Amino acid sequence: MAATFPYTHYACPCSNLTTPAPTSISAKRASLIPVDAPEDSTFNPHDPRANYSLSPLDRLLFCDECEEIRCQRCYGEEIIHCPTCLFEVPSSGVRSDGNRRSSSGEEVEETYILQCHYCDWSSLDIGVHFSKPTKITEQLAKQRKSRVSSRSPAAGAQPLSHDETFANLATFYKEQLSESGDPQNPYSNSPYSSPNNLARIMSLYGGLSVNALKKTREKPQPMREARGAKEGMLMCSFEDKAANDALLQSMQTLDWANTTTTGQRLSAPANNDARLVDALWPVATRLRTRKCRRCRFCPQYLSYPDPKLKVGNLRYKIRVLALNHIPRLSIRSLQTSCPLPNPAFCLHAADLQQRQPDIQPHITRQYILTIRNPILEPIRITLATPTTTPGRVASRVTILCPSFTVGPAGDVWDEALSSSTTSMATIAPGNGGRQAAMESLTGRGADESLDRQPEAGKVWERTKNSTSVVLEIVPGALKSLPGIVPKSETELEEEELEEGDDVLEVPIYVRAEWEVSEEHDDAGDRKGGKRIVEADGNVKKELAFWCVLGVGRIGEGG
Amino acid sequence: MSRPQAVTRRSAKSEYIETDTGNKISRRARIEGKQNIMLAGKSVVMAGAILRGDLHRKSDRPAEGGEKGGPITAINIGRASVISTDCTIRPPMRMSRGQMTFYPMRIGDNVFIGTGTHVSALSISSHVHVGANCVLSPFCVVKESCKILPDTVVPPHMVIPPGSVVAGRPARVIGEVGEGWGQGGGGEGEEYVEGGDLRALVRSIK
Repeated sequence: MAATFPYTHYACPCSNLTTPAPTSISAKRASLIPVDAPEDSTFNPHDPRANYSLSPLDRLLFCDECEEIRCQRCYGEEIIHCPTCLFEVPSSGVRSDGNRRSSSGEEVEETYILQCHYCDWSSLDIGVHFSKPTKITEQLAKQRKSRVSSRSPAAGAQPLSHDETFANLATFYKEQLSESGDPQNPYSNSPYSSPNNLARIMSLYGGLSVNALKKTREKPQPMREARGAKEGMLMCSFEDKAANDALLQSMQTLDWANTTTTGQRLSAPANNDARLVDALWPVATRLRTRKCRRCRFCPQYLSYPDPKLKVGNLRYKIRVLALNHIPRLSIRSLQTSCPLPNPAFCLHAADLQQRQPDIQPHITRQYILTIRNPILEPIRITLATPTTTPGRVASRVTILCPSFTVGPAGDVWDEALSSSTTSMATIAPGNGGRQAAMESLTGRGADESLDRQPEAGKVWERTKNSTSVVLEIVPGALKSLPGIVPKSETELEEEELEEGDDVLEVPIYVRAEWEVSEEHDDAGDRKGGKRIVEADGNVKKELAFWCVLGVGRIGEGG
Repeated sequence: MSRPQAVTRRSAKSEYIETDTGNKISRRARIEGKQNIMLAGKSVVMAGAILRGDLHRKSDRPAEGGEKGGPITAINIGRASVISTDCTIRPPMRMSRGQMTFYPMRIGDNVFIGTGTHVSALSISSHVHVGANCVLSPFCVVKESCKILPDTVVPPHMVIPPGSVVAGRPARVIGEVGEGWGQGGGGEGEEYVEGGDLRALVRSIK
């Protein structure tokens, strides 16, 4: 959920909210009530599950083959090449520092320490120093091992360390798997497909030795869990009272900041038992990987970064972004003449404090919805939205012109050439003498553009590759008016506003239709000729999705 | 935002000095050592910004005749970068062998630096969006296409890997930027997109 209004989130067709399960599956599941086609069922943006299907435009990819939007859960990731390292520094804020030379000057003993520049912690606090600045992880591991082993004989019967326990457990499970596990594997290569067949044939011909036969006849034991420390079970005992008491004592004397958080404890197996901050062991930073994304349904690559690691910029071999393939919606209020400054681009400190004003309920407001078309063909757009927004607060939404066309996006040159002409339309009048003179010549004054009334059925504004229409929204009230009959407990509970209920979000179903000439229809070619070719050699294409427009927050004052 | 007043030809001095290469430098920006600062073109330095170009590495070879090697650049800023109001850009310095040495700072293209931030980073690569009131401590390195949320403090010597979203004090990598980061903005009438082409934003700053 974006913190700044207005925003647009697009729904990926992967979830049940947007697309019903295919009928073959829904027929099998008795519990699944067949849902109507998406046009009939409304997408409720306040549904708690809706958050998982909505994404802003920069997180969406598009699959050419399926011709569908793909969200982050729909593109499986593959790690294609070696992790990239953080170039020099092993972990953020901590670096290897310092040579310490002996004061005599004869022997130069160089030691290195880890030091954090933010909080001034250094590895001297735990008594760790290094002999050379490279291979720090190795040196750390060696020191850790020696420290643990020197501690354990002193304390007597110590439980095994984490690493040993893990190793024991891993071998135990492997044994279990082989003992109880699949009889299929040994027989897969033989011409006798089932174990019964093989056993029968072998018994006919005299078969194997006694041991082997016994083994095959034994019922495989079900897999069991580890039973002792040798097999990898870690027992926690309450007998070690002294250590626990000492720990509790120190937790009482030291303050909250000195106890470890769950995040710190989970950072490494070495730290799993550390309860106090001074028992933590330094952990090396994870290496990062470059992921390539593939569509989950068809194995088409959607994003494939260049494997060359040392390339300065993140270059991509393939990158299919949703914003280059789907019509993009954006909304702004009709009253403000120019688009509101994007809060991310706050240029002045005073603008930072500015909170966007709340929307007053019950007052009709008009918004301009702009659809931008990124593809090279003109598209026909049909918009649909429920009359009242679903969710706790019902606002009435009317689209004045639900069906219109948007022109094609030109090449980069077309855009550059035409930007000089179209920007004239958006410059506020009165800027310079020449502008005003031009307008007086053409008869379009400043007043006229402000007085334009939005009309039903007419497009508000049309530029080369975008069209704007007007939306009328009457926000609902957060609290219903007090009635004569006092409300019961349950009704009062129902009226409790949950977080996010006061956000005015409008779900819109967008359908785009366009035609592609046959030779340009690459995706259709790959699918194999199931498309319907019109008489004039064009292929009809259609794309439809749900989209949620975040308009603003509804204030009190109904 | 209030509507800009009508500006007549014979107005008082405008807020920004425009150079030949399209850079806009505010008259209220405090710039020291301007011969050591390179602005690549179409960049904006807004009012109240402090650029310390006077803190540069002293040349070790004083008597070389005419071979000084050209001006020493203390701060290098790329194309279409925006430095908002009240920022401080100061090259990082280190004390070594009893002497203070400054290192040249490199800021890439399409970098947006929010208002009130202190930048002492060693380098900031291209398409980075830095929020308001941040602190980038000396010798930190910000790789390309990163987003630094407002009010973060990046500790010294931290290397921020490309494509990460960073926040907090001390700064931690909390996520990655989306696939389409930086794409799709800057067209006519469109909003500016973080990490995208900032030329439209530069043009709109008056």
